[in-house]
Amino acid sequence: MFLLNRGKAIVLSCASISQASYYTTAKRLDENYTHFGYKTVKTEEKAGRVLDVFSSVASKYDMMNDVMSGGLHRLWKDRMIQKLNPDNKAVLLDCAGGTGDIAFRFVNYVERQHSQFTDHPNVTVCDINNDILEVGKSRALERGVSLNWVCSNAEELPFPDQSFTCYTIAFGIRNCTNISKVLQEAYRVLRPGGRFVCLEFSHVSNPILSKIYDTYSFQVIPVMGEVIAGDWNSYQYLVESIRKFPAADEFKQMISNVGFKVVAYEPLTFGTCAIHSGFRLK
Amino acid sequence: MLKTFVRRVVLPKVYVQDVARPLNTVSSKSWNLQKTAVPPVCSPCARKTVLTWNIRQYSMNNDSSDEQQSATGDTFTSKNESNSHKNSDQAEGTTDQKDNTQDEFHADNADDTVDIKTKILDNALDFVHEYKWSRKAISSGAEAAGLAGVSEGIFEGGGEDLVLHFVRQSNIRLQHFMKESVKRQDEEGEKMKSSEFIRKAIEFRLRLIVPYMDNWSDAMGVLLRPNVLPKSAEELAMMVDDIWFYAGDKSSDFSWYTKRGMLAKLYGSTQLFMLMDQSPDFKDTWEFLDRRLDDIKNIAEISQSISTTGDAMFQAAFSSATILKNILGFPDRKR
Repeated sequence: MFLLNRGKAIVLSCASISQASYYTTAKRLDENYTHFGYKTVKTEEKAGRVLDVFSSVASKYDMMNDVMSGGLHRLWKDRMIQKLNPDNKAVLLDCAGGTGDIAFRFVNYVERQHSQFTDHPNVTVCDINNDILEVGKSRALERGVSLNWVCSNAEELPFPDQSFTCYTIAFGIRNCTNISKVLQEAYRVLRPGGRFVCLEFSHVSNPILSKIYDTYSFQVIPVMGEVIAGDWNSYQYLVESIRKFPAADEFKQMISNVGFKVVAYEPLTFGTCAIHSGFRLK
Repeated sequence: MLKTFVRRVVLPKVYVQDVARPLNTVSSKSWNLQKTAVPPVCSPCARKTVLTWNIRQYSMNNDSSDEQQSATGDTFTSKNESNSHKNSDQAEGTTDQKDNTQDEFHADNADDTVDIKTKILDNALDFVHEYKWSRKAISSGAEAAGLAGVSEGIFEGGGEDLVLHFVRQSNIRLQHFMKESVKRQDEEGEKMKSSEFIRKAIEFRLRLIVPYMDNWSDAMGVLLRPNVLPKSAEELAMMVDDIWFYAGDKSSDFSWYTKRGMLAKLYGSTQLFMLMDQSPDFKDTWEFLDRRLDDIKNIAEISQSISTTGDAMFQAAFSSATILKNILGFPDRKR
């Protein structure tokens, strides 16, 4: 009991120290400033900061995903591809898909569901961070799958209009500086009939579970990050960025505003995350 | 508490005859009229059906631009025609009243994707032979309509939505056929018998299934699934209601329900027979239909004769007692 109390004291003091350091900057929210977790940073700086965060987590990214979600993230991603239900002519653009989780699942799904397809399923993986893309490329080599790897910002995609039939973004859109721009780009590169699917953390609706989730997020995850990956701040940023992301209904409205139709979302695991989906029909 | 709730909320929903009574009555203070209950005509059914009638009347009255639609029984109207049928039924009308009823009726299709959904499903019907009533058929239909195949995700039910679309489309075509038929009857001045009209209507409706006969048993199975059954039952009920309406039924008693129930059963049994029918041009099915219609006529006659016979037998049994009663001077209070 004494040790437990000591342990709690250490964790709480770490948390309070890190939180104290985050409130030194003034909170100004106009066009030039945006949120970076609970910090306020200049808009043009955010992309760079996100880049740094993911560079530092790149090597242990997959393993940390498993540890933090208890392996649940695999089920969430399986559900996402199942919902997308691609056919053998689907062309996928996976944004913020550095390590290739969604891309590999897509390829497996198409190969299993549609045994005869015209070419190898056409998949492009896009990410702002080259280090994570390298991790993804090495995984692809291991599996013997050939995909296209592109390093670019999701807000300015280097692809022509209407060049993809599926656009997915899993756990990446909350890191983007301007979500509407990302959605507009998604609309631009999708063909008519194309589907936009986004898997992202969401707000837990049940108040009791929400409390437990908050405790887990702020007290356990950064500690795990420090112990396993040696990086407290990145994982602190991660849990804060989840809180800053708009709620499911608001995000659904944002997707509709850009022009997507039949927009719906499916909450998973009590609202821990949600799959939003919309179609470009014109 | 419970009594008040029952009296104020539950009971008033029953159709009643109001009989005035003095206010200082011993019974419930909230009720100053004595209610005498009469057998209720199922009010939700009546309301919904009337609403349905009104909507369908509006849809009939307001698509006068589709006069040139062919109405003969053996033609299978083209995709364009069926599209315009659906659009004219679901398009936002010019009158306010039509808007309201249409919105209520098509609440889930009130967005602007109705046209695209109809287009995808119409194209998907071409692929039913290859892929049966499945998501694959819908995605092939989407490709044929010029959209990416993944847009089949719009339809959450997948194949079920395709089957329901086909059923609805067929019912709308039947509606137009019957409307044309009634119009022709009015112009020519000769009135068809209702049994003849029903026979023609059922034959037309069943012939619409013929192109999909290979997969129709699958479709029937889909329509019986628990999540689909409410919608398919509703479609059947509306179709049967339409047929009787155009056949000239004006009943307002319980026979309204028996007529529609009997017709639904007739349609179902003929459809089942047709599944197994291998005769050329489904000749056996039409003969089956004729036999069933004759049976129904016979049952009506027999039931009438039973009631008169029963009456007569009762009178015969007590004839001597009746004579004695009249002689002794006891009048019959009932008359």
